[in-house]
Amino acid sequence: MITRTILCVSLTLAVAVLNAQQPQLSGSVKDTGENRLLENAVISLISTKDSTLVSFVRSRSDGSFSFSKVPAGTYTMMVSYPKFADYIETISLVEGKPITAHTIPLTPLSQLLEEVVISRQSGAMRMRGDTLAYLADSFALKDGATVEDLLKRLPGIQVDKSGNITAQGEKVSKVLLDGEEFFSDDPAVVTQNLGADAIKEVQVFDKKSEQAEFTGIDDGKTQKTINLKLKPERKKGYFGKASLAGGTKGAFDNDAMINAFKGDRKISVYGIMSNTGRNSLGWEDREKFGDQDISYDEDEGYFFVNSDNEDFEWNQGQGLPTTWTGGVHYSNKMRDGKDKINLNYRLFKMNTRANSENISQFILADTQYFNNTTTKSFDSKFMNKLNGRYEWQLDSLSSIKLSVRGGTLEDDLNTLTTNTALDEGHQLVNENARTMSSHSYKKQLGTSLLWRQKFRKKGRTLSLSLIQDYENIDQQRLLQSRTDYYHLNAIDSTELIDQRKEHSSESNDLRANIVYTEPLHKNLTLALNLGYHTNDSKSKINSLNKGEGSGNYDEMDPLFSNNFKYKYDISSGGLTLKFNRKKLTLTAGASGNYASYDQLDLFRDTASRYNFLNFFPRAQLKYLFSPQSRFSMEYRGETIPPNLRQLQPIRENTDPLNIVIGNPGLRQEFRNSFNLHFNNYKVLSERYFGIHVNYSMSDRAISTSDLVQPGGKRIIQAVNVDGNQEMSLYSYFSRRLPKSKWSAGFDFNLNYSLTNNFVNLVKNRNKYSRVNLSINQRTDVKDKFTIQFREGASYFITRSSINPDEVTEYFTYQVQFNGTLKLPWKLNAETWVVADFREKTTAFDRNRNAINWNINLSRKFFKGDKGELRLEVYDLLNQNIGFDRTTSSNFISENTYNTFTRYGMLRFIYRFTKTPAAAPAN
Amino acid sequence: MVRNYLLTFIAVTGSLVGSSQAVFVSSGTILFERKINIHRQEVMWEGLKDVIAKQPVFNNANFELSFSPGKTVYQPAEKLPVFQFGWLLGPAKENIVKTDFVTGRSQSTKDIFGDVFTIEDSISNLHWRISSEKREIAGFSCRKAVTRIADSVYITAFYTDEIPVSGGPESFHGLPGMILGLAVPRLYTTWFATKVSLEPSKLPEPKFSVKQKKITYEDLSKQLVRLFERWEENAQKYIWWTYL
Repeated sequence: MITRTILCVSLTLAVAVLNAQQPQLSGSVKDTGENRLLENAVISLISTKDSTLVSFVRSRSDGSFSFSKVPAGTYTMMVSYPKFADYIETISLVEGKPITAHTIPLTPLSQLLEEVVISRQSGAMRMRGDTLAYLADSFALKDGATVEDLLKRLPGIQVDKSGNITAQGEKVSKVLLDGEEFFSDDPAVVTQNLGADAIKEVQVFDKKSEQAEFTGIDDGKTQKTINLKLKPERKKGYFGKASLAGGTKGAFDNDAMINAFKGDRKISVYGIMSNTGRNSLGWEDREKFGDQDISYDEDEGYFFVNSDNEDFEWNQGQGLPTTWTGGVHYSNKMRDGKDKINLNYRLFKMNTRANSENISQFILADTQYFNNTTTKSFDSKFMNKLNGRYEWQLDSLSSIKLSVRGGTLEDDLNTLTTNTALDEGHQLVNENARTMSSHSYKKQLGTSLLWRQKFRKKGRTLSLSLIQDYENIDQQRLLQSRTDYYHLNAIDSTELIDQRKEHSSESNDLRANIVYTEPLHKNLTLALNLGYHTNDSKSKINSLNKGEGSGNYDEMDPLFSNNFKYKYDISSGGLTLKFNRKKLTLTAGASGNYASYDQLDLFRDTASRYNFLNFFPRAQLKYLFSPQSRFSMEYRGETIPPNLRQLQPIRENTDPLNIVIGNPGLRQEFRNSFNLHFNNYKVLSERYFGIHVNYSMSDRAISTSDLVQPGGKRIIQAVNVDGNQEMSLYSYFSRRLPKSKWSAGFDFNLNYSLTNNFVNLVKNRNKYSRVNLSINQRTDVKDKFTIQFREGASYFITRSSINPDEVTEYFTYQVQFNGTLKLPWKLNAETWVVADFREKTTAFDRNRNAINWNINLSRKFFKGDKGELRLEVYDLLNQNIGFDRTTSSNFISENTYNTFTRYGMLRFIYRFTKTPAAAPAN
Repeated sequence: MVRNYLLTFIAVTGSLVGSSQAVFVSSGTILFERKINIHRQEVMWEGLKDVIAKQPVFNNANFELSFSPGKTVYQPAEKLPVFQFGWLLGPAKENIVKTDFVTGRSQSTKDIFGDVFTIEDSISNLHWRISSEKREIAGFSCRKAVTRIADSVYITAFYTDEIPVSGGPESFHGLPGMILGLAVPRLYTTWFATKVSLEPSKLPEPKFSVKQKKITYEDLSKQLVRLFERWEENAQKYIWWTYL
């Protein structure tokens, strides 16, 4: 605490009438101590109006100075010289009336320090180190009192009329709120606007320097500072939103969400009720909900978001779902953020009514079949899920993360399927109708533990992970099926199934993995990993026929009943070397594993064992031209062992027309993949360019052999084939058009694949190609309108060697338009259109064109646009259809299904927010 | 406000004897350390805060300011290491600035997301408010002055009378002495002199590539405003960085 005395220097100014050529202000500077003229003293003219520096000069070797071209006005003249006291004086300059200041005396500075120590102590005031703290609640104040009112009551603090604060006789130049600076030059912003009841403690101290908090530079210079510590319960707030919508055809879509926080603790709750296809939070809301687990890979420079969101298996928009879902989130930090907890619970119910129609073409060597299938289903799912994680930062080098997830899923599914198979001449081959109703209940529990340890040596790390998963499924199914096989348009034979199936399965899975990295050289790192994975599972199916006499399902069908026990053990190890120098990163390594599968058929009392040695080589080159431009090239080799269903499947009759049989002689597939990526963007011209190429080829690829029997029944077996290849290219280019608010671009994609399979023991090669070109244009005029256009065409062609004359080829075109427009009176209009045009083929000769046009009109209400009313029209032209087409082999199919069609809806949205105790805006 | 400060001004009784006259050197080199507080940067995504919190608090870099009467050259003192969270800090982090107070012109290069611009312009006129507050930086007594850029961004500078060249880090200048400390609170960034050597030496001549685009501040600003208007709010900080 430095007390400075004030020296009043009186100065007489000699005013002379001089002509216009003369400088406006002149004088000289003198050291009063040694009585000599000072060179290089700074003479500054500071405007008295706004305190800005208007002009400055330095004194010449004879101590003289002069100003010219200074506008008329009133100035503070400040004369300074190192280790001398500043000299201050107010002068007025008038046009045409120059001033000559007489010699300005400067006095050598020395500081007379007087330390004032505050040592008063009472319940309301405390001295903690250099900080004097007042307990705010100890000072009685009227309701609605501001911080300024509080400060006025505190001993040793004075507040003047204009809000300037003096503490212990010194001017307070900073007021902090919970240690945070509100970088306004005026402390009164905080003190006059913040309620005194929010304050726990007022702390007065000498802040080492203005930016000490983030510079750490201690220069001995101090500033009197007041810190207002908020009461913890006032460090809270909440925000959220509620949206209600109802419309024609009984459409509804309601949701609500609230996020409340208090310090580091956060609680969020949300709920959704909808029959318009919305079954989860949007991305933005998910982010607010906060159940995401984010980790950062320092080597790669990528963020990973582990979001546990496998909620809702709504089958690609098929059918009409009605959903009810809700969730609760809790998170908190302890020990200054070193420990973290995150808990989430979600509940979900969805009913889906779906109808679909499938037409498929099955090309054989000398003929082809057509299948028409219709499916009607009603599915009801109920799910309940809890997950949580706890992270401990043990010290600066080690951390532990424990995650637990568990839940149940109950599923009731009823389906009615009809199928007719036609031959090349469209004669009936077989006809099947079946119903199945199933009830299943699934329980899951999983835990994982991750321990990470760093060492003093940079780059040396050890991590250990243990993952456990348990799953149990109980399922009851009732299958009733009738298949009529036709010959010459008359029923030749009939197959009937009426069975009840009881299926139970259980799986126990345990994985352990250790990774150790060691820097071998400053550019070279070695990573070693060892792993072990074991799984024990069992699956039991009892198929029960209806007893002749009893009418109950009590006769065991031995053909379709079974009881298996499986066990597999995989031991793995690997080694990777990584070289990193400037912009280049090279990685090479390999890993291998030894896998053994044991299958025990308890029903038939047989056992089989399969062993595979698998190998995974890998090499990668990455080059970073600049942060905006990167290139990478990669090779990956992998063995793919056959799975148990391919080796020894469970005999099933759920689909009596497609029977899968095993192939114990299957070998591993070995796949070589190459890929290449390049991308580049220029921020200023908004130019984006990228190209990605992938190619893979397989030895002994696991494919299928289909045996089609005269009645149209298909027997499918997995087999090894050679010569499978796949290639894809994806490229894009986009940029802002010069001198325009529009951006435009295109993307070009190419896919090619060569796959082999066997059809009635004849080798078949399928060639599939797809070419796609799209162009896009977009503009975004802030607060006015946005437009996005996209037009694309795709060409597909498929050939099969068994029937080279039967070529499937067609075009599809898609046009998308999305526009928003800001209108007067806070009105907002939005429209989006997706138009699909699909060329007919010989097999698929129905019109599949559709234009899906949607419109929204909304208006915001209330202060801060908290409320919004929105009119939404979906599929205005009532043309929407659910559609997909598969054409990648000699089996070509087209699927259509029911989906949302025209409806109108009125929506009201309310957003609310309350942030910590009236904290002033930054 | 300055007046308020000025009223508390000091002078001293005659009992203390003034010492020798000060020495004023107008050429030399100053090493500045730029410190950016990473933890206080705004992230566009709430969840990233935890990741950022695990990084060191400060991103530090050294810059060298060479000066001679009427001229300064400011440039990185060493090749700056690649910072993983470059996107967090935004553009214009390795600027080279040549200022000529005699001709009133300045020339600088700024890397704006891979586009390197050469800006040639007359030196801007900053309105400094002089305060009474003083602190010592690198052994020099400095006085605080405050100015504003882009209407709302306060800049705090500490300058010393003892170096009679009106320069400073980046393109800051116009005070009655050399700026040895600079703070931009809204960018959570400071520049402080860590070493001052008053050896007269030839000013370095940083190379400005001919290929780089020449532009004035005004035209650059137009481009940036147009670009960033569609970005998130905190893209505003990117613009401030390019104005420094």
